[in-house]
Amino acid sequence: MKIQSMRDLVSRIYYTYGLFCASHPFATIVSVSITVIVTCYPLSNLPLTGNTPIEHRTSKVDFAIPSVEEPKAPRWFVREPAAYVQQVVLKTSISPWRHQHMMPSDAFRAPLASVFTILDQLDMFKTTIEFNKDADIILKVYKKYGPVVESPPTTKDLFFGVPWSESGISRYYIRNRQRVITFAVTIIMKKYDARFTEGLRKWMEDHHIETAHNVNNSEVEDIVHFHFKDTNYIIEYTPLLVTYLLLLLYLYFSVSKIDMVKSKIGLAFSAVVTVVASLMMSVSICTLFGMTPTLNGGEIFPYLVVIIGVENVLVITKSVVSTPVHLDVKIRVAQGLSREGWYITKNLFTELAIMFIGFFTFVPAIQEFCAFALVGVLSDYYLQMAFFATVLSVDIRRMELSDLARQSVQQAVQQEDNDTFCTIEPMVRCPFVTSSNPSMGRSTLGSHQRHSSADFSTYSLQQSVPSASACHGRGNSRYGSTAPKYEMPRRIKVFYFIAKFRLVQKFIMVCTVIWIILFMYKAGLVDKFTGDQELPETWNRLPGGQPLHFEAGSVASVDGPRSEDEGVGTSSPHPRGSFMDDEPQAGLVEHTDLELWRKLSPMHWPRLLRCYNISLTGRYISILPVIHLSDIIDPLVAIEMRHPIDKATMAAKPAFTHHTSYNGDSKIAENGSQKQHHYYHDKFNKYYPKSRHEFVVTVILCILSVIVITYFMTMLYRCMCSRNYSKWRHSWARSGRRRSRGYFKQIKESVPLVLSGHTQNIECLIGENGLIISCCLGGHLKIWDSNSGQCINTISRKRPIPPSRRRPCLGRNVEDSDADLYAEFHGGGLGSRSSSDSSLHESHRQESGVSGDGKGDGVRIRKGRYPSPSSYPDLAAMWRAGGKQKMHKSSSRQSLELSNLDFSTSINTEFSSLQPCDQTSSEAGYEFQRWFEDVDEIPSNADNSFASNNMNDSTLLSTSSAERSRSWSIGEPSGLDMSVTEEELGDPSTNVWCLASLHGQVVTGCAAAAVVIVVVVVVAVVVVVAALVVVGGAAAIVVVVVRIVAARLDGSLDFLEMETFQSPVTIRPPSSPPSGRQQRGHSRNFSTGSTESWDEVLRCAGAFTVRAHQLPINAVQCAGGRIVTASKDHTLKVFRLDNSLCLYTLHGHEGSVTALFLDQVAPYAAVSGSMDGSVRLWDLLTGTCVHKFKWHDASVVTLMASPLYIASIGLDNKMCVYERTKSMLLHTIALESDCTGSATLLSRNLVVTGGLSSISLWDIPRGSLLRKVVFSDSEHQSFPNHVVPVANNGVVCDQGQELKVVFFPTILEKAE
Amino acid sequence: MIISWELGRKRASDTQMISAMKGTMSRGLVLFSIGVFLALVLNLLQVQRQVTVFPPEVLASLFSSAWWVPPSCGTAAAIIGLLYPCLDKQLGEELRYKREWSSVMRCVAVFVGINHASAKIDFANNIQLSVSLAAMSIGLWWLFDRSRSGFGLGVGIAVLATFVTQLLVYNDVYRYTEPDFLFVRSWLPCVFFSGGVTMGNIGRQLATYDSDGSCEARRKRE
Repeated sequence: MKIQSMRDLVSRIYYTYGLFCASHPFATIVSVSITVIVTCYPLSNLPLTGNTPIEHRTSKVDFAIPSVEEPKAPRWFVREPAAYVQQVVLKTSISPWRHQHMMPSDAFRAPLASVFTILDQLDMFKTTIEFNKDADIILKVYKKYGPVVESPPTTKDLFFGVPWSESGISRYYIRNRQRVITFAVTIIMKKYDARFTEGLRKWMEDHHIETAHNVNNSEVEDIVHFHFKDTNYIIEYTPLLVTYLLLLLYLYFSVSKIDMVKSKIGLAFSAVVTVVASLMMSVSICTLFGMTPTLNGGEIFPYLVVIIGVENVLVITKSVVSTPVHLDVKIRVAQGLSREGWYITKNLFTELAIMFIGFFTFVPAIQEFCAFALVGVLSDYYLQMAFFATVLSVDIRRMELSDLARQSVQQAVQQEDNDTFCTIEPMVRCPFVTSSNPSMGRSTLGSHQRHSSADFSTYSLQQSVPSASACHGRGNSRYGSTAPKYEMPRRIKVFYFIAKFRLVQKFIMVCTVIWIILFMYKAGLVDKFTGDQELPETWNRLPGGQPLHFEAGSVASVDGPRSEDEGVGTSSPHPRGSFMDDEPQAGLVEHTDLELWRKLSPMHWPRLLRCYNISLTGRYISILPVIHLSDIIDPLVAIEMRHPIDKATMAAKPAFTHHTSYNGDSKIAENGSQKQHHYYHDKFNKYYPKSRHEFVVTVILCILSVIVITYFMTMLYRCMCSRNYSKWRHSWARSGRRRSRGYFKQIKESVPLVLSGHTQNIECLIGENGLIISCCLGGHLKIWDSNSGQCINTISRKRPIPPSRRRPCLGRNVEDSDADLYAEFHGGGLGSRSSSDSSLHESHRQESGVSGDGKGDGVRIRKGRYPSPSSYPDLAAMWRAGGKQKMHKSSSRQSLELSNLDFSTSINTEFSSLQPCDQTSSEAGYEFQRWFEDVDEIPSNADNSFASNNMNDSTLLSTSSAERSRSWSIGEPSGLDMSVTEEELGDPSTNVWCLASLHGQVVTGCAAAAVVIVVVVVVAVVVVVAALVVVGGAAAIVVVVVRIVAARLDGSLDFLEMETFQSPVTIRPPSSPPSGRQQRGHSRNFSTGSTESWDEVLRCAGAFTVRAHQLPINAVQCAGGRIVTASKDHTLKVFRLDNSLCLYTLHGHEGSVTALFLDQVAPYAAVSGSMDGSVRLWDLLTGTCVHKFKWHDASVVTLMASPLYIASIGLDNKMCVYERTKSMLLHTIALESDCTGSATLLSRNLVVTGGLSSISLWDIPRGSLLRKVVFSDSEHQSFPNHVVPVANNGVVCDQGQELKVVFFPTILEKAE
Repeated sequence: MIISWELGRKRASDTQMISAMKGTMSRGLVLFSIGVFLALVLNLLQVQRQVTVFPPEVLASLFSSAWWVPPSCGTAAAIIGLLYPCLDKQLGEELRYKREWSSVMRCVAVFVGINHASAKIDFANNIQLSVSLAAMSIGLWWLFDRSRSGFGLGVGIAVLATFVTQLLVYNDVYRYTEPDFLFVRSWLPCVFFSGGVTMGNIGRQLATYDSDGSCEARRKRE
């Protein structure tokens, strides 16, 4: 369809244009402003609006005053006019002109004096004496007699009666030349007598002999009448006011429809400016084309505005702001424009057509109005597109994200027709690189597609949370955190703006440029280039002569270098035969325009007559044909009339006679040294160009100098003041010599702090917040202060309380059904068993039974169906004995009691039910026995840094998630045990396999059964609530805010959620006996010895257990809401933290995945290393393998990744450093042989590895060893199993039973 | 329960009617005042033509002669403004063309402009004047109100007004200072037509407010 294709074409054109104007907003706005100003320049010449007098002509012959209104005459042409105006125009000059004898003021004085002869002739006596005494007549002419700012006609206009440009008088007269002076004597008569005026004319013509040659005064036959309208203000202005009021209301209602923009007022203002500027442009363009506006501009202006209207502007605004907010501003503007392009163009042509029709009314006023409106519509369209669209784009760009967020809600409602449009490609790509700063993340969403709604989920990934380390002790590294938004006050923004764009420097540059231009101009370069031309003006014809040189007399007040060559003129007077000296050139004083008064200002006559207290409003005047006279004045007369001062100054000159011969001196060209100087009047400034040539040369020189200076300034600016200055300067240094700086940085090491206190070898080590938490084989947790090396706290966990000892919690689990509780309360948990009982359970239940532990509590102990606790007593017994015992199904209560529950912790948990596991729905059969077989073997491996690696493939443990556990409490508080007793040595009950910490809580994953949460308070004491959780040993622990993810040996993942409740305090008396069980309220933990008492109840709730792998999990890490597990089955799995859904399974490794590291910030990559020595880089967002490297020959033991580098350590004693941005392997560093591969990333570029009784600090980018710290004071040498960063620049590593803390501070050293 | 409900409904309808009446009254008042104001202002425009001849007495004559012109214009405006929405409702054409205050303002401005043109421009002859004015009036109607009912009503008003004026002048109730009554007759119908359209526009705009208001009130009560 033709229309459709045209519409598409129009849309595409608008789209392209929209892209263009939004990409270069400032350039567009500046160019539009320049256009408007240039176009409106002719307006300055227009008289201000006022009522022009109405004209009417009648013939002079038989002129009679109309007594009755004639049919053809206008209404006002009745009765007598207010005045008859008779002008006598005299045009005089001094001839012949010899400027070596004359001065500039001579040109004026004599001609002006001839007015008095006329006045004399008119029988009016005026004193001529004062005139002769006046030294500076021109100034007096120009003097203001009225208000300071006079609009034309000014007093001088009134005096002279002719348009000022015709009078020949100029204010600054420098050049000594002949001038033609014209002025008029105006006679106001009350009555008209034709004979009188005729006689006057004849008589004056006779007295001015030159008149006959120069003018024919009888040509004009008409009397012209002018009518001045009366202005009654009320009547005149009330409708006008009403019209303007309506206009204002219209504008107000229109712009109040604008919304969804950053600044309504700004846009409203620019809309009004658009319309007003377009009208001004239209008026001035019309004036330029010769149309004189007879309509009163102020009256028709509101109508023009109303007709042009601001609708288009609103349409554009609405269309642009209803585009999707996430797009780039350019594309929004382009889309908005293209959508409405067809409508706008249609509107434009409709309006043009309507205006055109108005032309056919053939009423001049309407035609003029239509002409204005036509041009106005066109210029309004131009301004809308160029100016308003650009302003809109600037405004939208300024909108902040908060506004956008508000708008995105509204967007969702307005998406109807967005998707119907296909992709639009711009017609032309802009050749200039866009200068606008790329918006943050929004522009990346596809270039020209239309999107319905942004999906912000990809951008809203959680920010980093320090991930707990696996048992290798990776440190916490915060790679990014959302900084709080800081709203700067506006004045600071202004300062930043000025600084950023270097406005002050640019301003100084501009001033310097202008100064240099002025300097050069003054220096006379211009003069040098100016030719030696004479003015091409009318010369008197001299008898074949060229003017002589003007000897530089004492009169010349030449100002320095500004000497002009007024030398020989190029004008060659062509000899025309022999002339008389005094014969003037014909035409010098010829009157060419016989109705010169037409060029006068319309207000001339009213003002003139007002000076005589005659008011012309409402009346008319008649202007009679003007009597023109011409006169030539003899130079002698002029010289005679000189003022005495002038006479004195010119005394040195030779006297003027008519008979001096003036032989042209043709040797002027040869005597270049003889310069002719001009006569300078002191007052005159030198900015006055003397000839057109000079003017042109000046202009060209200016432009050239501006260009050159601007270029140099720009280069200088770019070098000195640009933002790349530092880079530029450094490029100097790089290219050549190295500049010595004053200071340089160095990394030093500190003497290692020794932290001793453990009795057994240290098993796990983590550092957090300046604290070091270490756990030894004996299960003692020690908390150290890294700065001082003191042990703050020791927590020895011996064993958890057997389940039968546990008390039911105060707040019961909500999922306990009433019936069950009832049953329990009334004894016998037998009735409340789930369907999936195993024989094991039953037996346990029977044995443990209702413990009926009513030791004064009166509370029931509910028996849990939990296998592990129920089997606990066996454990206790077994461990007590310290030997391997098979677990039996029976439990004895005695063994329970024997077990001295010497707890330092009171454990309260409510363990709410588990959700059924979706992976395996195995029955709750639980091979507990076999599991505990393995447990015995665990303590024997003292040196298992990679406990999980060396773990045997334990049995399959099924999750017991099918059952719901009752809520029961664990344990009772007992005193704090600060001592370590011997008998607990080697007690494997509390083997801590892994540690994780977060915010003062330490979560330990133990072999035995639990994940224990320990709350550590730095300053004081106490602590702890340990939570027992689940079954089975946790091989690796990750703590994320409130969640704990524990990876178990069997390949399952447990997701636990910690809830902390504050409950009112019961302050325990500090004198509680440390030993012995005390029966107390169970839902409290106590804090002894601390001043602050708070009660927290930590609950672990909502655990999911997910069967991630069937083989043991080697590593677990968390980043960005994702949990990644690496397991022996050659895969990694990515889970979501909140709902434990498995997102991806990353295949690719060909060996057991032994090392894992996650990026905490974008690009959210995971690095994993496997046993076959290969390292893979995965992208967590998509779940694909990005890179694969084969760096090692043996299995990869440690992986560390910073945003720039990846470092991997393998069992082949090599450390490989890989640069991520360049994707290349930087270095391969050989480490000490047989290292265990313990290493950590200290900062972005530093890695600390552990060696034989030493640690080494490496600089990764350079691949060099910076520092090596040898522990010389240890009795036996061993490799540190863990190297953990602590504080900012220190590491702690374990050496046997001791910890060594080494700091690596960076110091500024002064250069020698 | 049912009885009380019925009574409630009746009372609701009563109050509804009262509120409707109130709305109409207020609208009528607004239209009346606008009509008076516009009549005065436009009279000033017309008077300007005569100023040149009789300068001093104009103001006095303005207010003394024909004192009843502005109020009658006002009542006419009120009637027209109320008539248009009623007609809309009767005919069922709910016109949604440019129902905004900005376009109403524009319409009034163009109407004043037409009057201004008729007052200030010196036409060569009367036919030209009437043709131009007619064109402008029809343009006004087309720009701001494209309904046939509006057109018809406007034409009716023009005819009626001219007729009435003719009657008045023939019965010497109103004397024109203008000697040329034909001249006046050429611009009178056009001015009344456009005036009718303008007032109708204003009335419609006010009526939308009123109907919205009553809808709200009804909903609130229920």
